[in-house]
Amino acid sequence: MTVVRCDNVVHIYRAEDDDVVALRGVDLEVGQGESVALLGPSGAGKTTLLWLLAGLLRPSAGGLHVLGRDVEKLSPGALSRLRAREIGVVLQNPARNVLAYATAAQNVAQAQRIGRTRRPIGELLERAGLGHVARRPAGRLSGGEQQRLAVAIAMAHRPRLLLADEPTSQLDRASATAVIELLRDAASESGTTVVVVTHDPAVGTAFDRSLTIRDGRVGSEGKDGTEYLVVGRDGSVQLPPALQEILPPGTRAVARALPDGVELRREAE
Amino acid sequence: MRGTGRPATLWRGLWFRRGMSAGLLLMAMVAVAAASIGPSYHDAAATFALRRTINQAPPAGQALHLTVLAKPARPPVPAELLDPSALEQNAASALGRHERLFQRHVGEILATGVFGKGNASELAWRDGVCAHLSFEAGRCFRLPTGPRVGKTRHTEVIVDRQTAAARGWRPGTRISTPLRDSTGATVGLTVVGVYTIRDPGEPYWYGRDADPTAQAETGTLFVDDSLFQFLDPRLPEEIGVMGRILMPVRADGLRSADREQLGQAVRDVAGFAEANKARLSFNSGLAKSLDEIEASLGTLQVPILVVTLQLVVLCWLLLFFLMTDIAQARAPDIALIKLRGLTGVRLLAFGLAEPLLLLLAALPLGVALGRVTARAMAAALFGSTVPMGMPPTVWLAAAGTVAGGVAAVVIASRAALTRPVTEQWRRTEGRRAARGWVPEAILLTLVAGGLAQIVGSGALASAGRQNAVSLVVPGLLAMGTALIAARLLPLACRALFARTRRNGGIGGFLALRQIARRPGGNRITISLATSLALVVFATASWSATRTNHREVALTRLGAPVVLTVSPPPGRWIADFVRQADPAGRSAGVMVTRRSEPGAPVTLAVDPGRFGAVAHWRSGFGDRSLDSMVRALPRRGVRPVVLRGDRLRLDLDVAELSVVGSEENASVQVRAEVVLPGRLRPVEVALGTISDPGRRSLTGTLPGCSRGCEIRRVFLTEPVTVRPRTIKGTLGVRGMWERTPSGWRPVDAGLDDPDRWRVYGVEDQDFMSTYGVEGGSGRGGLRVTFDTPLGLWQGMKPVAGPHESTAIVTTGVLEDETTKARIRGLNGERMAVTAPFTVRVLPAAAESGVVVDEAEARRAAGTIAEKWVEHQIWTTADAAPGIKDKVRAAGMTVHAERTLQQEIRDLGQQGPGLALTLLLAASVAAALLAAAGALLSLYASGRRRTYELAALGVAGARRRALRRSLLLEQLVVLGYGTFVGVGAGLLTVWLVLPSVPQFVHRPAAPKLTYAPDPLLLTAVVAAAVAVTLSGAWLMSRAIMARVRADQLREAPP
Repeated sequence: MTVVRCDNVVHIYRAEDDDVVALRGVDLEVGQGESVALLGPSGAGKTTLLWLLAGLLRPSAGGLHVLGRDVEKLSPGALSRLRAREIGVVLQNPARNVLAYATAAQNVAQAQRIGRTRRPIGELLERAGLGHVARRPAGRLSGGEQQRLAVAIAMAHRPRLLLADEPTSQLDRASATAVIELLRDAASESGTTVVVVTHDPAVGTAFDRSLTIRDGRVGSEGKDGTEYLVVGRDGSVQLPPALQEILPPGTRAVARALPDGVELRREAE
Repeated sequence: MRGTGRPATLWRGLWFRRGMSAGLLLMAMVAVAAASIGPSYHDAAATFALRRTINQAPPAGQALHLTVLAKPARPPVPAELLDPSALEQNAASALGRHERLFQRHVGEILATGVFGKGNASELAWRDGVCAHLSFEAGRCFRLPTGPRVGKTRHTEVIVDRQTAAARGWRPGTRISTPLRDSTGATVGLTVVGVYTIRDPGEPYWYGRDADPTAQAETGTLFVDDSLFQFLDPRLPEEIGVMGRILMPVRADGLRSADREQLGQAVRDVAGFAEANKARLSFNSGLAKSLDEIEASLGTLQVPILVVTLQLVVLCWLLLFFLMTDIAQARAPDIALIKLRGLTGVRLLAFGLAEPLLLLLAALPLGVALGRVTARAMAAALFGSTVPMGMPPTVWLAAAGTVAGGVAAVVIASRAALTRPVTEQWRRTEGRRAARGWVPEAILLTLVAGGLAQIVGSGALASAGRQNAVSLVVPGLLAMGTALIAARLLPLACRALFARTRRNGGIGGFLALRQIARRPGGNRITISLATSLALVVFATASWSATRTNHREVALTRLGAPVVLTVSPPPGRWIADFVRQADPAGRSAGVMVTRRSEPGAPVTLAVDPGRFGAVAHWRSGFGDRSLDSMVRALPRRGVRPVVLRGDRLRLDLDVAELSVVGSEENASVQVRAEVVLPGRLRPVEVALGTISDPGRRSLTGTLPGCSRGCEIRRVFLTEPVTVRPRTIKGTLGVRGMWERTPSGWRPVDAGLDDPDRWRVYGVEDQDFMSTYGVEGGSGRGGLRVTFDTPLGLWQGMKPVAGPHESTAIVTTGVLEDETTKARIRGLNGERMAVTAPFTVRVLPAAAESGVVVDEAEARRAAGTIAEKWVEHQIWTTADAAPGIKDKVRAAGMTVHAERTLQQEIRDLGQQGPGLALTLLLAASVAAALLAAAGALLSLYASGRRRTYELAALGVAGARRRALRRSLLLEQLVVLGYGTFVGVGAGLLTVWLVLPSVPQFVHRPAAPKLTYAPDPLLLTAVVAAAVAVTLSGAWLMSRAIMARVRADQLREAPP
């Protein structure tokens, strides 16, 4: 089953006096149980795509289906219900993922109340390695603990889709590893579809697929250790940075069809 | 898992933000307390006003009075008139459910005509009378019946002093009456005591003329009620019986809620009497007392409402501002919860649960705080014995305040609850600032509209016209000024950006930018400026009112202490005071007042002292009072003074006959003499003349050794059914007095045409128009008459001037003249000429007269005690000594009024109470606003500690950062203080003349509208001190949290 389907999704937002095209026609499909990393440089549109998937934004154009629903047609209340019951979100800043004044257990319980589900809180916290700090105020946990708690909170209502926005960017290596492990476990054990935004290629390799977004488009996809270029709807192809050294932007190249592909050669001088 | 439920999480949130939570709770409590104080305060004030007005009312204003008559007045007398329990039944029927408002009733049964035709003495039973009498001889009646002597049952009776003296009755005297008891035995009376009334003015005597100087013929003999119960109701025709019931109000048990019922009681009893008017009549001045109470409370209700509303609105504003800060602090949490999918009511509950819980908790706590505060204020103002009820308006006001607080919370939280989640973390914030001006624009529009309406209604039109609506203006004006000023501060800071960029270090640079960009600065300016402006205005109003109260009180009293005393025995009041206080700090004054409001007051004064003792201001007149009083011209008078023990007149009776009849014209010759200190002249019977011829008539003088003056010589005849017209001519050729050394002639000036006049009945003209003419001259004093003698006043020495001279207020003069007719010491009209006119007189305001007491006394002849008060005006230091001497002289101090009491009484009236409430409430609001401002600055500073830590690590010196914080706090707080004080002073200038200070604005003296500069300066200094210390404390507290290791955490 396709959990996420983007058909030529475009998103434009207004910043001060300018219109910014954050996404320029994203085509994407994520199946159930898959774990996908969205890679790309800052400003590529990764977070915007994540917020679209979370129902926090609506696409300016194109089709977006999440968990079988057309996001464009859902009311704000329906989107909120979707997030409450079927989507979990982990933000980049660990402190923003928790209610600092509430204990770890209370944070999890709060999420369960919103999602109208019940799971043993202790078990969730143990799985996240936080059983020993269940009664500690979340504001007094370390960054890594807070981020693990955020994953536990996001999983508290058994979401079908888990979205994480750069969950390890503010963590040290060990904490980051622990968080990634949690996310992978969520995908493998619970069957939750996981989409993680990151700019760290190392994090990207930890998941089933990685999609590189550049300039608002999916430029390449990595799977099973191989990096594939994705041909856009308009036939354009984004060369990875390593190949751009050979064919820098502005270079005129001759394309030649091959039986199983296309050859590009620099124009002879 | 335990402890993960909603309540536990809620409590954690409250505890986490305990500073702000405590601030919100406190502010809400104060708001609720402020709202609930008004109704409680009003309740206590109403109870106090009710009790005091009734206690201070004349006897008629303290009770209801029913008279039960026998109609037609013929025997047998109805049983209820002879049975006290039947009287009581009438009272109970009349009062019905209102009984609890009244004290034990005083019943009375009265029988007239018992002691013979023409004798007006009464026989009476009055409930509990013995406790209100003093006995000069004997005791009060004890036994219901005495021993039977023959066929007569003797009953104990007590008799008044005048009647006893006139009739020669004393303990043991037996008096026969035509009464019979039910067995047919005659009823005789045995005198067992001679009484005087302890306090004729006390409410117990309402319905009776308890004038102690009443003539003997109107005295009352009191008996036990059993006499009437045993009487044969078939009374002789000449005896009349009536019953009376006095129902005194239980003043000290009244509460404010009893006002209406008391009014209904008056109406019900009046209605009962009307329905039974054949036998009942009703009398009371209680309705007038209740009208006075309503008038007084009417000046309290509106101001209290206005003051309370202003304070509650200010508290709502403060709550709104604080909630805005709290909502900002909670915005990330709310965004997170929305991100997790919470919507609708559950989102509202999450976002508003904490503040709503605090508001709900504030309701009972605030009401309790309000009650405690109101009680303290009431105890300070009215004394601890005045209870304070719990009117339902207390809870209504409190609930309304909480509802307003809820609205403030919802409005303040609206942005955080409705803002899209993504905007919470977006870098750009363009839309947010653009919405900030809308609420302020709405407020400003409301303020402008309110002011326009008030000014348009004329509430401020004429200075000096009190208007309770003017109390709304300070709040509106302060808020309008604050709203505009708040917008100017960021602009001013922006204008200084360039300067701080070039020089001054980063302290100023950071401070100005923070002020210019933070939205919270506006809120602090608005709340601080509004509340401070109110404090300044309240302080100014209160201090100006206190000054005016003092001046009005002193003008009303006349001197710092005024003692109302009984007349000194054997002396006039001025002579007594001269002897008692040689130092000259006191003066004796006789004051004549009439009951009509605005009627001129006559002050008969000792010219040697009055001017130095009485209160005077240069604005009252063109000269000093002392110089005017001493300069009053005095007409030379030569009274006819006697010092002997007997008086003899040598008469020539030329003619004496009854007009139109052959009857014998037998007339009595009498003289009236005025003894020092005796209010009424004493009649001296000299003898009877019936035929023409020469006669010498002699009479005994009543103690003239100190000198007494002849007031008049007159003729009289016994009272008959039809007065006879007597015609005759009479001459007085000699007047003699007997002294220890023998008879000597009196310097009467019988030959001097200027020494004696013959007067008519109603006027003081020289010549009567009633058939009487004559006067002194060669050959002695002669009079020719052809008149009923009762119409003729007699022959009087010219001991007093025809017109006295006086100092008068302008309004008393007759048009275009220097003449006036005033009420003299005898209660009758007296003509004066006024060499001096003034605007205001002490104790008389704009309507009064000052005359020489000796001239006034002689012009009056009789001192009508009903109209005249004897007063001693003195200073606070001299008062104790004077009082001791008054008591030592056997006199009674009927009343003592001091300046402090008068000021307190004025302060306890509606306008004074309202201004006291305004002052207390505005100080509380200002402290709250200051606390809110400091809290907001601290919260904002806390949020910036990360930024400051980053600056510190980047190289900025800690001292510079501290300076920037301090400067920021000082500018924000200082600006708010400056605007507030300025707005307050503006409001004082505009509004103070219209602020109600009195229930009825006094005509004099001229009121001041200048506040006490010292007090005002102290208030401003306190505000500045709070500003400075608050800024210093906050900057230190914030800097203490700035640490480099904060940067290890993610930025907030």
